[in-house]
Parts: sequence; C-alpha cells; structure tokens
Amino acid sequence: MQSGRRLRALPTTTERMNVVKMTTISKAVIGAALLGSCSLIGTGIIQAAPAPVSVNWYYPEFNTAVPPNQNQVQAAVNRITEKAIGVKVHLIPIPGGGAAYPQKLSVMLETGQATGIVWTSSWSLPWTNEVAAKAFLPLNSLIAKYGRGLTRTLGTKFLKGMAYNGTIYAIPNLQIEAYQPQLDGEITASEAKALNLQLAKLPGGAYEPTKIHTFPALHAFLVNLHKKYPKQIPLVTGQFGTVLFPETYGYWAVLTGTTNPFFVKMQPSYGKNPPKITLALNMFRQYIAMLHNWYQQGLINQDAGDITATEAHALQATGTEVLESCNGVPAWNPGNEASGVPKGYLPINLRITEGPLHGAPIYTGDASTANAIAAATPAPQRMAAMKLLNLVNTDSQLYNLIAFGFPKVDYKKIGPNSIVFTAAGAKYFANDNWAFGNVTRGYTPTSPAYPKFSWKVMENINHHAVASPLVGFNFNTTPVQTQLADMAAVEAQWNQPLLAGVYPVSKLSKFEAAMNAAGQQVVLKALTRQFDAWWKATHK
Amino acid sequence: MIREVANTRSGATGAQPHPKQESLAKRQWTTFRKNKELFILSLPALIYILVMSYLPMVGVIIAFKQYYDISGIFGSPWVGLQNFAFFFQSQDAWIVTRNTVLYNAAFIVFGTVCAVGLALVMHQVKTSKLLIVYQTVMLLPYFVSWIVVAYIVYGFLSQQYGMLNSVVAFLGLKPINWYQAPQYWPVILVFCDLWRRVGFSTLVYFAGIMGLDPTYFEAAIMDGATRWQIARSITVPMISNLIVILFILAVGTIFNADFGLFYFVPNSSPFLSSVTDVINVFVYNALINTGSIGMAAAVGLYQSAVGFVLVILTNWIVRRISPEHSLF
Amino acid sequence: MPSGGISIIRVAFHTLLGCLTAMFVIPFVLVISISLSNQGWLNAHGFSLWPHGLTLLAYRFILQEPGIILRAYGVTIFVTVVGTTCSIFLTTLIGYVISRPDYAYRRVTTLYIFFTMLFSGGLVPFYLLMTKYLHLGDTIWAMIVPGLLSPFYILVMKGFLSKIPVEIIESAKIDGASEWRIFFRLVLPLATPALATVGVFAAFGFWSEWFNALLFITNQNLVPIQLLLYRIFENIQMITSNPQAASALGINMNAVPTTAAMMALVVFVAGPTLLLFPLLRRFYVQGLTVGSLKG
Repeated sequence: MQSGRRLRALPTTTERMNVVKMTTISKAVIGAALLGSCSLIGTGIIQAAPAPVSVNWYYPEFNTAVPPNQNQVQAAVNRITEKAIGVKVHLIPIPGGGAAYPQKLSVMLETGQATGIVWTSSWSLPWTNEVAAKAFLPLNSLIAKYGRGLTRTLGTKFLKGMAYNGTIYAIPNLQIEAYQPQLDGEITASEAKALNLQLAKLPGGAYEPTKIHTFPALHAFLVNLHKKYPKQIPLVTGQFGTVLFPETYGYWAVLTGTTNPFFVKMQPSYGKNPPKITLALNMFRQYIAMLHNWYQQGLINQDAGDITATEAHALQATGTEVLESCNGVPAWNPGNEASGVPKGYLPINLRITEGPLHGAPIYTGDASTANAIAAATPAPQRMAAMKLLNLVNTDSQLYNLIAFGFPKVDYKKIGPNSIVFTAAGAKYFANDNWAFGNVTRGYTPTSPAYPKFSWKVMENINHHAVASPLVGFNFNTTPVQTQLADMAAVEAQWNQPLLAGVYPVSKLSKFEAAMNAAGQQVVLKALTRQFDAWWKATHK
Repeated sequence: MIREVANTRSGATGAQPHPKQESLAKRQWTTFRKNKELFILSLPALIYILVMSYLPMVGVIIAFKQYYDISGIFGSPWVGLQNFAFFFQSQDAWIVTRNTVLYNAAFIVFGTVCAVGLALVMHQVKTSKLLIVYQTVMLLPYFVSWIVVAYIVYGFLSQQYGMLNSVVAFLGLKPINWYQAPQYWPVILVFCDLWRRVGFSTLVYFAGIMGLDPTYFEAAIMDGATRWQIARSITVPMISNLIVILFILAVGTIFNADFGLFYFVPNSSPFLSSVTDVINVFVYNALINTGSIGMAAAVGLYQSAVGFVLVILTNWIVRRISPEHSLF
Repeated sequence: MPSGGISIIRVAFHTLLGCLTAMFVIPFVLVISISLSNQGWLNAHGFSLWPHGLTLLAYRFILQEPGIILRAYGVTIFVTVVGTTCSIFLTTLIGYVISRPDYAYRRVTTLYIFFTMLFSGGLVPFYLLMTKYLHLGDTIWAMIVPGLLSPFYILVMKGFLSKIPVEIIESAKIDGASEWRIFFRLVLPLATPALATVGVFAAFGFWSEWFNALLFITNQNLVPIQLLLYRIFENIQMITSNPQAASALGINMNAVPTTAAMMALVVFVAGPTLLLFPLLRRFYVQGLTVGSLKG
C-alpha cells in the first residue's frame, strides 16, 4: 500500500505526489558522503577525441530557480570531463519543488525529445514505469564496456536492484537504500524538549520512543501520553493514513511503486520452488483491527480519515498533537538516532517482530534514486553518458564539484571530508547531491539540524541489509493495466479511512469484495505466472 | 432591421441565378468568388487552427494503442478498444458519469441564470461609479487556483478550527464534520463553482448588453415600458444568441468535469466520493499508478465524442426552434 | 436609459451588488489577512479575517530574489501584450466573418472551429509540433503561439458581432467599400465592447499561463512570473507536506511563512487585475454607437 505515484498524461500536480516523494527526499537531503580511501580517477577509457561529445543531464532542482553560478560549476565540470573522457556535459536542473520535474520529463520522454542522462527514482518519474514505457536504454552492455569503475564502487547488490527482469536500466546513487520498517513517528520540535523531560515521569516507568520496537509497546506509550496530556492527540495522521510495513509482520512486498496487496512470506531461505504470492489478508485484518482500536481510544485524530497530509502536518505543528504519522518510506535508520535524526524528532523504530529476520535492516529497492539514459539518445552520446556516470561515481573531485559547487563560496570545509554549507551567499544549491552519483564518494555535509551526521552508519546499514529475495523481479503490468487501474480507483476510496483506523475490521470484507470486482484475482494470477517464470529462470 | 436577414440565409450553396445551366464545380467557383474577400479575412485563423489543432489531432489514435515512448505515435502497437476497458468495466463508471453530468448541468443552469441576472442588474446601474468596483472584485476569484480555494474552504469547514463550526458552536449546535458529510457537498461545490466563474460570465453578458443599440431602450422607455418589461422583452431576447451560443458550448463539455474543483476542494476525502467523484477524478485515481497515456487518451476521446454528439443534437433542436440562434 | 435619479429600485440594485461584492471580497480579505499573519499563530489558531502577529515575512519570502522576479514580470508583460494584441486581431477577423449571415461558408467554418474545442490530440503530438516542427521550444513564442486563438473566444465574438445590423454593412458595400475596408473602418470601431471582453479574456489567459512555460522553457531568462510563482508554490507544498524534509534542511516550520506565503502568491497573481481591468473597462462604457453611425 505504498508510494511511487506516477503523474503522466495528467498535468495537474497534486499534494499526493509531494507527500510520497518528500519523505524520501528528506532522507536524501541528509544523505552525504564519505571519501573513499582510494582514488579511481582514470578508470574511464581515455579518448583523445578532438571534438568532445556533448551530453545532457536532467535532474530536479528543489528550489525556485537555477543556481546563480550554475554556469561556472558547469564550466569547471567540463574542464574535468573533457580532459578525462572527452565528454562535455550540459547540466539541466528543473526547478520547482520536484513537482515540475516529472511533469516535464515524462512528456519529453514520451515524445523522444529527451536525450542523455535522466535522473529517476522509485517515487518521482518512477523508473519501473518508464522502463515499461520503453523510455530508458538497457545498460548491461554499456556498463560492461564503460562502467567497470562504478560497478566496483556501487557493488552489484544495489546495481542489480535497478534491474527490470534481469536487465539493468539505471545507475543507483547509493544513498540510503536499506531501511528499518518504522512507524514514521516524530515528536514535534516545539514539544520535544518538554516531553523529553517528562517522558521519564510517565506512569509505567521510563519511556524512550527510540526503544519502542513493537506495536504493543507503542500502544502502551501512546496510552500513557494520552493520560498525561488528555487534551492532546498522541497520533495524528491524514491522507494515506499510516503505513503498513509488511516486514513487521514477516512478509515481503512483491511489488513496489504500484498498487500492491501482494506478499510473500519471509523464510530463512527459499529453494528452487517459487514462494507463493498471497494477499496476506490476516496481516491486513490484524493491522486494521489494531488501528481501529487505537482510534476508538482517542489515540488517533477523529478527522484522520478525511484531512490531507498537509493539514495533518499543520495540526501537528500546532503542538496539540504529539506524534505524527504520515505516509512515506521510513526515513530514519537504526543507529541514526544519535546522528542522523533532526533535533526535536524522536523516531519510533518498529522492528521486524515476526519471521526469521528479527531486527535486521532490509533492502527492497523502493527507496532508490538513480540515473538512467534516455532511449532516444544517439549512439555516440550513449557511450559518453555511461563514461560520464562512471567518472562521477569514481572521481571524488568531480562528484564534489557537481554536488556541492566551489569551496569557500558554496561550502566550508570543517574536516578532511566534512563540510558545512555557507548559509548566506551560497551560489550553488546543495540539496541535490544525491541526484548525481554514489554519495559516499564525496564530502559529508553537516548542518545545524544534523550536527553529528556520519555517512558511515548508513553505509553500514546498506551493506548489512538483508535484500528482499524479490529484488530484481518486475511485474510487466501491461496485460492487466485495466484491472490495476480499477483497483487503484477502489483504493482511493478505501485506503485512507482503513489505514487511519477509522473503519472497523467488519468493513474489510466490503473492501475486499470491491477489490475482487476490480480484478484483484486476475492480477494475482498474472503476477504469479510471471513471478514463477522469473524465479525459475534466476534460481537454477 | 432584421428583415433582410432572411433572404441571405442560403447556406453553402449561395445565391444561384441559373442553377441548371452550370456545373457543380462552376457553381462552387461562383460561390467562392462571391465570398472570396471574407474567406481571405478568415484565412489566417483557419491556417492557425489547421496547424495548431488539426495536425496534432492524429494523436487521438493513441487511444487505440499501447503507447511506447521509443516507438512514438505511429510505431506503437494497436490494441483495439483495450484502453477503454478500465473505465467501462469499473464499478463506479455509472456513478461518476452521473455525478459529472448532474454537476455540469447545475453549473450551466445556475451559472447562466446568475450571470444574465447580474448583467441585467449591472446594466441598470451602468452609469454608477461603483460598478467598476463590483466588476473588478467579481473577477478576482478567476485567479485563485483550486488548490488555494481548497485552503480557504478548509479554513471555513475544518472540524477543529473552521469558522463555520465556530458559528455552529455559537448557536449551541453540535459541530459538523463537513468532510465526512456528503449531503452538504453538492451545494458547496455548486457554490464554489459559481463564486469562481460568475464574474467572468457576467462580464460577457454585460458586454453583450452594452453592445446593443441604445435606441431600443430609448424607444421602450418612451412607450412607458417598465424595467422588468424591458429586460424580458428587449434585453434578454437581444442577447439570446449569446446565451444560446454559450449554452451549446457548455453542453459540449458536460462530460468533462473540472478536475481541480472536484479533487482539491473536497480534500479528496474518501467519505465524500459518492457525491464528489467525477469522471476526471476517477481517471486520475485509476491511472496515477500504472496507467498508460493510451488509457487517459481513451477516456478523453470518449468524453469528446459524447460531447460532440450532444452538441450536434442540441444545435439541431435549436435550429428547429429558432434557426438564427443555432451555432452552425 | 431609465431614470437617472435616485430611486428605491436603484438603491435595491446597489444593495444587491454590494452584498455580492462583499461575498466575493471576504475570501480575499481572508487571503490578505493570512498573508500578513504570523505563521505560528496560524498554525495554532487557524485562519482569521484579521491578521495576527502582523508581518511582511511572507512577501519577503517570495521576493527573496527581486532581480529574478522583475525579469519574470517583464517576460509575462511582453507575452501578455503581444499575445493579446495578436489574439484580438485574429479572433475578431474570423469571428466577424462567421457572424456575417451572408457568408456562404459560415456554417462549415463554425463547425471547423467548434470541432477543435472538443477534440484534441493530447500532449504528445502538441509537444512534438511545438518543438520538432515549429521549433518554438525554449523561445518566448512557446508561451504566445499556443494561446493565440481559442474557439471559445471566436464563438463569443461571433455572438457579439452578429448583433451588428446588416444594413450598415450592406450600405457600405453599395458604396463600393471592400470587405477589408468595412472590417477596419466599420466593424472594429463598432465592436469595442466585444474587443474589450475578448481582450480581457485573452490577456488574463496569457497572464496566468504557466503550463506551456513549464513544458517548453528551460532558459532562465524566459521564465514568466507564473512559472516562478508555481515553483515557489510547489516548494511551499513540499515543505508543508513533509516537515521532516523541512527539518532536515534546518527549517523551523513555525518560522517559515508557508500558508502565509501561499496566500501572498495569490495576491501576486490576482493583484494586477485591480490595475488591468479598470484600464480596459472604459471600452465597455463607451458602448456601441451604431445610432450615430447610422445617422
């Protein structure tokens, strides 16, 4: 039931998209870099071509305008790339809060007018949809020829996550790829200080939100908060309700980025026979029953079923509510509590409580941002684009320049590899560092909000994360587009009240009936057929 | 002064003195020569429309294709009517179609009545200096996007901070959770639509009235006609062609709902979907995830085709009643 | 016109219009009040018709880079002036031709125009036409050309002009005037209220256009004000719908004028109406002077 909404052929922007993508952006924003120990400059094939090939690079700019010194940065970037690989790059940031980018690029891709590198992700301009629409080039042979350096720095685990039925279509940027399933809870900045002091005095002993890992523990915490502050509502939610993380119930989600009620039970290992895809109705029933119970106890806001996410946040900002939950891919990771979490925010990490993967971070591929190459790119530029991606992912100097701009002007070095942004007078906007390449190759940006940020923790999580056995499988939705569209229309009417706890469990049967009428079983059949074939092909 | 209109209404055949002796081609040539000057006047616009509207219309075939970005409009494979299936197979197709038509019908009726009424009233005070204030203020809502309207409406209707619930509470009544009460929303939506549009349509009718020959009114006053009589027997009939044109045009878009109004203003609250979901919102919800541009094009084509049939029908009826009011 | 003096009925009309105007104006008072309010107060108490914690922060937030804003206004004014002028001209020409009852191709031309109001090929062919065939991508014409003619305006224009008495045109023809001359010397002066109405429509259309700019414009110097405001709007939406992100950027949600700035944007968009409309309005008051022409 999550994320990855696509806006295509329908030009109106929506809050809905913002909600989904921004949780990930927040994560991306804090994503930063730790310089690798060895320099890999020159892993690209050096060509002494007299006329450099020019390549476009499209990416979203989370600001109102293009940075003032964009041209200088680009010139400096080109000095490096021309010398190293004989490629000139035309950086094309699309300003506008990230909403303008998918609008503009989807039309450009549909008309074959975008060439070169195109930034993509699971949540904005979703790459699986673009691959299905045949907008991106398959990259396997290009990577084999010109991408050996980036294969080394990224690692095949995450590169494979960008595979669509066995073929790689994008180069991931390796920010926080893995995560801990988590109720996206926060304690507001204004309230946190007071609460922190008083949490210990709550009836029932000391409570530390950061150590709440199970739903019963969370419930007890919310009840106590409600007792202590009867006028406040402990958990506020809005559009999309809360997020159901199937991993906390011991299930892997089969699909990401689409209408997804399909799951596979977690097992320590899977044999040659493909695991069965189910609707996991029991899990859903259990979750809805719990939420509705909370709702009836007054732990969730009464208008949770009908306000937008923005309105929920506004309510939260009033300080009337204590915890806030909104849709999104979970942003904070275990171990980050001390370093990566902004001041005033206390995360509530829900651990996997069932199944064999107790407590481990997971990688499902649905939090990724990446760079793809447009299918309409002419042959010489395809080569150049891959060389460029390879260089950015291996050359720290180039990465830092393209991601952070010029030292002293745009940032200040405070350690060998860490920087702070010069708040005033910065001419290059730094929120985009995760759009270009492997962030671990560059500087670590710190800010007042993240004074103790360290990339090491995230790198650790990424590398120790258990990858979902389903990573790399992608459902070809074309044969069941009709059914998926009708299911999405049904969900639009049901998801919010169900996932906000407004509806009792008794309503679930009606929802399931509507989903089946929309063709849920047809999709399940098609999905199972494709999945089994894929499993057999990859588990010989 | 309307007398000479009748004899010139000869349509595409033009005036033909000796039709039997001339070939069809020659007759057409004669007609053309007769209308050449006017045709040349219209030529720039005709060419513009050809290039900007008719050339891109080849795109409607996307509705019958599985569109692939790399294959383009002509290269993508045909899929017959498959793109239409999701809409017509859906459980809600009937409800959203009904909502769309009913709301648009309400908008047309209330919009026209209010705009014509206001234009008549404004005409009565046309010499007043205050008129410019009225007109300017009524134009302002046009510039407020539906997203902002949604914020303002939420400011009034929010359960907790809404001004309306403050009033309700002041009256000693139980606060209403407006976003969970579908029964109020038809009224709220019609009101919002009127608020945003009426200023503009009033302006059209007002300009239409101002464009009339003042001697009509002067003569009527001489004859001692009352304001009401003047409005009913002179003003409204004289601008009736404008009213009918705008009516026929509105009928054409009766299957096409204003997405922003129906999506943002009700906060896309699931509790209201039975009364606020219209075709365009349904399509948005259905296709935002996995939809193809072919599916969006299919519903668009369906809306246009139905609108076109309705317009031809309306125009035909109008022509039967009063030929000079018909659009074509 | 009926009686010039103060009568009860005139007072009643003014009362009616005044009340309606108030109904239209109250939401704008709310908009302005919110735009001037302290965001923290708004978050805590909701909206109010009177600004609380009076501050210009929202306006300063939008005007962070006045140079860019000024340039964007310049682009928009150019687009609006050039676009409206061309649009009025083209619309009146064809609107006049199909309003002439003696024009042989009247019905077929009307159908030709009307058809485009209902059927369109969608975004893909339009984008290809503009960029690949007309080569208008990333030029200022990309914002002007698509809005030059609207079937709606043409048919409204037809509705206006069909009220011009045929006899005037007939007599001019008898005097030997060409159609060209009749159009410029007779029709245009007679049609000022119609021109003004279509002009207002077209001007407001060009003024508030942002989607074509979003699609076609990459050059920073060609960004119109509406696209810039749209970007600001989207940025605010981004912050409000995800406080984590705001917090990650070191933004204190209560300090950023989110709702206030959104409302201030409305002021930026709608404000110029207050200047533009009264300017155009004198054409309405002039009215039609057929009587004098006939005489």
